[in-house]
Amino acid sequence: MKIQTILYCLAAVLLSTACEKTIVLDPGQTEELFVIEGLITNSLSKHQVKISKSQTFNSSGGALGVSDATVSVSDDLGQTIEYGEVQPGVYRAKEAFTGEIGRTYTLTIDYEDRQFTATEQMQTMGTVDTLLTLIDEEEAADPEDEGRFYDVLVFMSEPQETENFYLAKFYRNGELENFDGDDVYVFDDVAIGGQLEALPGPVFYAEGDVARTELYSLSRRAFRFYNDLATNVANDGGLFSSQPANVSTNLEGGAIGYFQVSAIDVDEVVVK
Amino acid sequence: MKRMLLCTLLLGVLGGLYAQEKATLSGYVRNAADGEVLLFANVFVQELETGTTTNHYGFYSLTLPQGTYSLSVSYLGYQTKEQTIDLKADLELNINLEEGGEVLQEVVVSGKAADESVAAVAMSRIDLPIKQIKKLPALFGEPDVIKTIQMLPGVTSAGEGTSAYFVRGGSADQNLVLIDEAPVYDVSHLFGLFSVFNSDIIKSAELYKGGIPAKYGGRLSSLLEVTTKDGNDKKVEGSGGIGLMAARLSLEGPIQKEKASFIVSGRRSYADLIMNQIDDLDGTTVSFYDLNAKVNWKPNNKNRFFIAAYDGRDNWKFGEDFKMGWGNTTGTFRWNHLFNEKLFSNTTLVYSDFDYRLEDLDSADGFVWDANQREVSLKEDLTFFISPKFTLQMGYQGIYRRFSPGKISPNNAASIFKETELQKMAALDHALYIGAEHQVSERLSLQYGLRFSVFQPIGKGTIYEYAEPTDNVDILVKDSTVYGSFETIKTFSNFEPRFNARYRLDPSSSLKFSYQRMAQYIHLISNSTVPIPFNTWAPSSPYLEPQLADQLALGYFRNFKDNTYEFSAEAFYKQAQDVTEFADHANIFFNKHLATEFRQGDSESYGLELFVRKVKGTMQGFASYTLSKATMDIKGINADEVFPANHDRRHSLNLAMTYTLNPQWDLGANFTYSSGRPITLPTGKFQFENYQVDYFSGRNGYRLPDFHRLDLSVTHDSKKNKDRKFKRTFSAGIYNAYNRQNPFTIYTRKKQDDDGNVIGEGTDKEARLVYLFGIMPYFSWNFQF
Repeated sequence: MKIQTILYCLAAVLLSTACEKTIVLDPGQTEELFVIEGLITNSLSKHQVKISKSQTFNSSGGALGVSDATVSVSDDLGQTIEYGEVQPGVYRAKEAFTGEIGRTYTLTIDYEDRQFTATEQMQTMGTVDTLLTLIDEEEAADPEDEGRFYDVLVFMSEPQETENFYLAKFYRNGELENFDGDDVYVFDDVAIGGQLEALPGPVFYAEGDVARTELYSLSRRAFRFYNDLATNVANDGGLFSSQPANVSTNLEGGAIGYFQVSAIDVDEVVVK
Repeated sequence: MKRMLLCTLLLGVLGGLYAQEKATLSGYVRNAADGEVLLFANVFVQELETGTTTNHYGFYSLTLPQGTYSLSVSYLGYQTKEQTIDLKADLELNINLEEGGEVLQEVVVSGKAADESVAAVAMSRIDLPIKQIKKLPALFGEPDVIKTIQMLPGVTSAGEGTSAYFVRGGSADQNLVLIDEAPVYDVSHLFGLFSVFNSDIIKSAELYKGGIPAKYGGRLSSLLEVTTKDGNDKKVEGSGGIGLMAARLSLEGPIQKEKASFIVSGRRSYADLIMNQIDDLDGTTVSFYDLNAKVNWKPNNKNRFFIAAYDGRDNWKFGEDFKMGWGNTTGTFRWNHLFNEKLFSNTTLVYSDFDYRLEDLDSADGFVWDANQREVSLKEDLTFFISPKFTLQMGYQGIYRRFSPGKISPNNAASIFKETELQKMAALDHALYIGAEHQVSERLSLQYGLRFSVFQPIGKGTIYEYAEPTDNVDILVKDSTVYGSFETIKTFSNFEPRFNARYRLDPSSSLKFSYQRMAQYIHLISNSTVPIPFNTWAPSSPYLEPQLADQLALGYFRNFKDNTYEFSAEAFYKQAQDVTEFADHANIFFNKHLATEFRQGDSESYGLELFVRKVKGTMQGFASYTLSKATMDIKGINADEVFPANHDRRHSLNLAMTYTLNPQWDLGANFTYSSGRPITLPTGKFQFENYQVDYFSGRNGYRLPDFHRLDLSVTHDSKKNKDRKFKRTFSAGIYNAYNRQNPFTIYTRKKQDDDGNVIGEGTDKEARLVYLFGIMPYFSWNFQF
């Protein structure tokens, strides 16, 4: 639900009246966990799985990939696709394949003496009908970034007879835009109608920019995962928001992260 | 236990009935100047060395052998009145006391009998010094009862600028807050910077942390009873003031002299008027108001009526984008009736409503979100003054509650939202109680009682049956049952015994003991440390058990120097079952399957509270120290391990003092120190896409740094005021005098430079300590006419 995001914004407004300073946390020793990020969609692609390790809070530099794992995905028809490592910690399907709505996929990862698995079914969803661009008058009067004051308006059909969960991603000239990993665009259809019209996206574009939207269907569990993720990255320490807690996962065997299986709908428009 | 109780009760009743040739003296004790009734005033019969105190409505009744007596009526801050009475038959005697006693040109700390704290059977009960609160330093110069409560022994807060308080390890939703007997569900303005209580209209405020009489129930941890003024029944008076944040105005006076009076009081913040003028704010405004009104009618001693109402609201507007608001509305109709001199009846009809609204004003995103809860209750309390040694109380309370947890509607034709409403819920509450105050001997007095409470969630509504009730991901509804209007879904009931004992060691000291069991049937749906006004309440239901708590307390009370100093030491132990918590990252907003997010378990707390209060002289105030611990043990949270409660603070020390320099100048100071509260902070992190995600090893594993702060104030009452019709006082002060950066919360983010740009790849994180208020001067100007 989008409303939660609004509540977090309000908390942010409240906190913005306050002062703050950086402090050093002493987190002590923490166990290293395997982090898995996998995605299968219904578009033809060499789908990818990333394996990395968690870090202590104060550590510097990005997470290192975990190499030499055996990765495969099988579906409920008994077909198995092998993955091969293309970069340290990045594994790609050896052949391109298309996921199908309604099919169930199981990811299996073997690494040394550990095994991690996750199972997920591809859900149906509504689709984006069209994207339009329009000058945002308010932003045009005083743009935060020079020249960027175009809204991309999303028009979408939402099947009301099924319970659907969505994740949206927005790109500007091929760059993922989510405010440096602060925002997660995840929503359900509990309170929304069958026709969504002229819904502005979260970012502004300049003339000539290529605006791309990707809409993913989510399972209820994946919806939970992305909501948890949103709460985790926007947490205020539990004062007005929920108590800080770990993000849920669909991985078994002690790993964290998520193996996502989604129908995808991609749309692009050149801003003019 | 139950049988013993009945025996003692019968003994007491019979003892009263066998007495012969007696007559009853009864009436009200009032302030001579304005007719306000005086609560807990002492009425003493010197010959018999016995007496009583007036009740919550200012009424007393004494049944004595016929004869001639000297009666002494006293009340702290008032001149003691001595009167000879010839009691041959039942006698109605209203007593008017003049303000200003021996020691006083200065302020009265609190209204009560001088040795009340030692003599009363009740323990763990603190009356708040309203008049003194007004001279103490306050944030933005706005005196606030709740902020003073947060300084009392056994009470903790989540930090400054919040209105939630936690009593003896209990959660924020375990406090019953009553204004003129009507419950207030959210006491916060501006997310807790201020509370809804306008100090101008409060006559008394009492906090019960334990030893709660059988008359009250419904919450596990505490009762805050706020009583507003009756209104001057002799002459028209007004008062008001202007502070940094808000302006206040009250008017009171007789409608029919000495028979009927009224009081109206309003408070309004005016920040919005200034904010509107600032272009940079783009139309962002914030405002709140409170409105209290009361009409009192006292046709005779047999019948007294009042109607009181409260309405308060916050309104926030963020330009043309977003609006929100919340507020409480309450109403009370009360009828005090004397069936005879010995039988006092209080009939109350109460209405309470809390609601909030969020509104997105964009066209495509536009929606209105409404939620509210309402209740209507009828209460009948009977007090039977059998003898000076035995008072019997009994009564009934019935409540109808309706919960509307949320409704989303589109607010324009282009909105993507469709009208969607969460199911409304309803419930019936019943409680029957009987209790007695029983003076067994000169030294030993008891207060005991039993409350029987019944709670029924009722239709209409649909109750889902879940295959796995705590699975909030793969929600599998096995079955559902549709209940018709007023059809009972489930019945819960509990016996709640209450027991208090006071043993007087000598005239100035006593030992006290109390035990109480409390049941709570409604639950606040909040998983933050400080509840926000967008949290609704839910009734107990098939997947939400009532909460139960048992508390034991032992205390030593001693007054020094002719009741100038009151000292008490209390130790308590409290254990609660089925306290309500929520699953990690529970979706508590607009969730049809909220039942799958509940996690209930046990809480335990214990502590030692020391309290000393100086109630007379030029220097007055209190000091308190609390050593306590509060833990929770809830299945499904913190890997089923015990964890410290959010409000667990080991040490807490508070000082609140006022000093009268001379009739014109008063000085005030607050000092508060407490151990940092627990907080959950990450031990690790991981990357998922371009998100830097915190990883936690357990709940509440860290502590915020210690909290301490000193505030100072000065109040000036002009010499000329004596002859003025329009009296003016001026106060000024400094909040956080030594500019301590007190921790409010800690959050984490991607490491940023001073301009707010993410450093490097954004893979490094940092923790940020947030502190609210640095040194803050304030002033306020008050008047009376």
